[in-house]
Amino acid sequence: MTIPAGPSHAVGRRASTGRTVPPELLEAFHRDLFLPLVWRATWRHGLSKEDARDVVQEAFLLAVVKLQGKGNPRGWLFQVVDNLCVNHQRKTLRRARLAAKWGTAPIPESEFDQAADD
Amino acid sequence: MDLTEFIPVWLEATKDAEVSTGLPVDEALRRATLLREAIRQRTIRPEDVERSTEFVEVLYALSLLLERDEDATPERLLADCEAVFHFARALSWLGEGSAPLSRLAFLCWRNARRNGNASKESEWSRVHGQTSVADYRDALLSMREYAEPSSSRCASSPLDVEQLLSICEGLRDQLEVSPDHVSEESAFLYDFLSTLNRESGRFDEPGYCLGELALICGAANRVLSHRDEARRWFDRAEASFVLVRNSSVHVARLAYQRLALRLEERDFEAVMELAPRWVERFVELDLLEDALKCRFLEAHALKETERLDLAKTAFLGIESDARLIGNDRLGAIAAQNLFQIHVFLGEIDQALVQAERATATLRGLNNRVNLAKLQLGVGYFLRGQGRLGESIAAFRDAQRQFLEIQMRADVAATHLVLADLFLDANQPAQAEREIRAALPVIDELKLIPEGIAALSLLRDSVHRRQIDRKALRSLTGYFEELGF
Repeated sequence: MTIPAGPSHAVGRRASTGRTVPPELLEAFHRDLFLPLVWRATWRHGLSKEDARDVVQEAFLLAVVKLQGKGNPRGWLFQVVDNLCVNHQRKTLRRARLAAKWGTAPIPESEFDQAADD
Repeated sequence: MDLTEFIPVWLEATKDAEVSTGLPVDEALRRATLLREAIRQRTIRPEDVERSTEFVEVLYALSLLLERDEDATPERLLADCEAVFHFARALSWLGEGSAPLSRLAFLCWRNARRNGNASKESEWSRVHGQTSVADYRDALLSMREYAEPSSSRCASSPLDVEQLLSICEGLRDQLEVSPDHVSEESAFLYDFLSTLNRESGRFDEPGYCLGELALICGAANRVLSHRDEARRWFDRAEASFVLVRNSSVHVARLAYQRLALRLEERDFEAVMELAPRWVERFVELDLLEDALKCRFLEAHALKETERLDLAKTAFLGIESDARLIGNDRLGAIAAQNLFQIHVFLGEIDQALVQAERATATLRGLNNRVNLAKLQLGVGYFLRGQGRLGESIAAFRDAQRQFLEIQMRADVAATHLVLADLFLDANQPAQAEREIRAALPVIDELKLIPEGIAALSLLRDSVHRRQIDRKALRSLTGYFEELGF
């Protein structure tokens, strides 16, 4: 599915709750929150679009656990995306440094995380 | 849309789906370059732009172009950033608090600093605060996480100066709402920032942030009557500011804080001598708000030296000029002072008008420091009217408000006023309790060195359980003169 690419793509999409999600709601969410967060990750933090999308989805996963209804949830999400982007850049930088030090090809992420933790 | 409810729905709906992320990066940059040129040449008008998500992304891309432009002069960059900001703000559908606007305001601030334009630097810092998309408290939490000693981020990731600027703006706004919180947070961030090297941000921005945090911390300590601590923070601010661009402006802002401290220490001569000079300097720098704040100190000194007619004229002028530059806060504090002056002059009707005016605005701004001071003024007003019971209730209310924001010196001063009132009401035991509550705080904060004799007489009289009324009045007099 591509969102948004015409209402038909989102019509009848069912969430795990069994509730049908109106396509216009998904499109509004995509336009008003998902895209601005992806843009922030891309244009402010210099992530590729793919990485930006992953970071934003990760921020949403964190929101499911941590976000309370109070305060400014939108502002909170922007902040979380900023933090995740900084983490992402740090990992990329350290991965490149380790690769240069060991004279190897870029290290797979799982191995890198292990090495970084060590 | 309730985000907490809708995010799980979104995650479920987009699982294994390809979700559009907008324009390809190259295409967005190409359009941004064209847009920059069109705005420069004025061949595009905001009203001609139709609402579209693509256009918003092009604005994001344009802010990146402006940030990374190493060829343009700082003057050219500032002009471009300002033109793009005003263009974007004129897009009625974009809305305040939109992320590209906030980013553009930050770039305007950065380039105004690089240009040595003090007035614009100050203006863009304010605009950035108004357009910031994230709440400063979230930014603060995030910065605290960033500063964790266990975090390896400190060494390897760049400092987010825009985030720090938002925090400084947020803390400044909170100075008269919760000074204790501001003091704690700004001190923490200052200490953390001191551990970073100067290369952790662009240009001289880390040094600027360090000075700004020290200045904010000093101002918070001044509000809390921690005067030695305030002086130490002002010295730290100076040490940072002398090394940054536009240092004369920041040193001037620091001078204002030092002068305010001298006013609180009753050095009226120094205030009367120096305030007009700083007013002139701020006007030359086109920093009208700061000039107005210095006029405030002068008016205060007039009030405290009982030149009430001159003080009234000065505060009326400040109130009117504050309205002209759209500064509600200064206007309301001028009204609060006018209320007190009218009370002293026995102009009751005018006093009540000013009290109402000040209360409405200060409540709107949640300015807890000055609301508490206003309530204190109401206590004095009622006392002057001989309404003892109502006066005690008003002072108690003011005291509660001071306590809530940890203004312990003001809490202590109010205890002494209440003690005096209880003696009037022939309740010496209650008066003694009030004095016993005040004395340790006055000692701890070294509040009135010039009142040391009166303090000692009062302490002895309390030990003898026969309160020395003259000593008590003398001390409350000192506090009143100090503006408590």
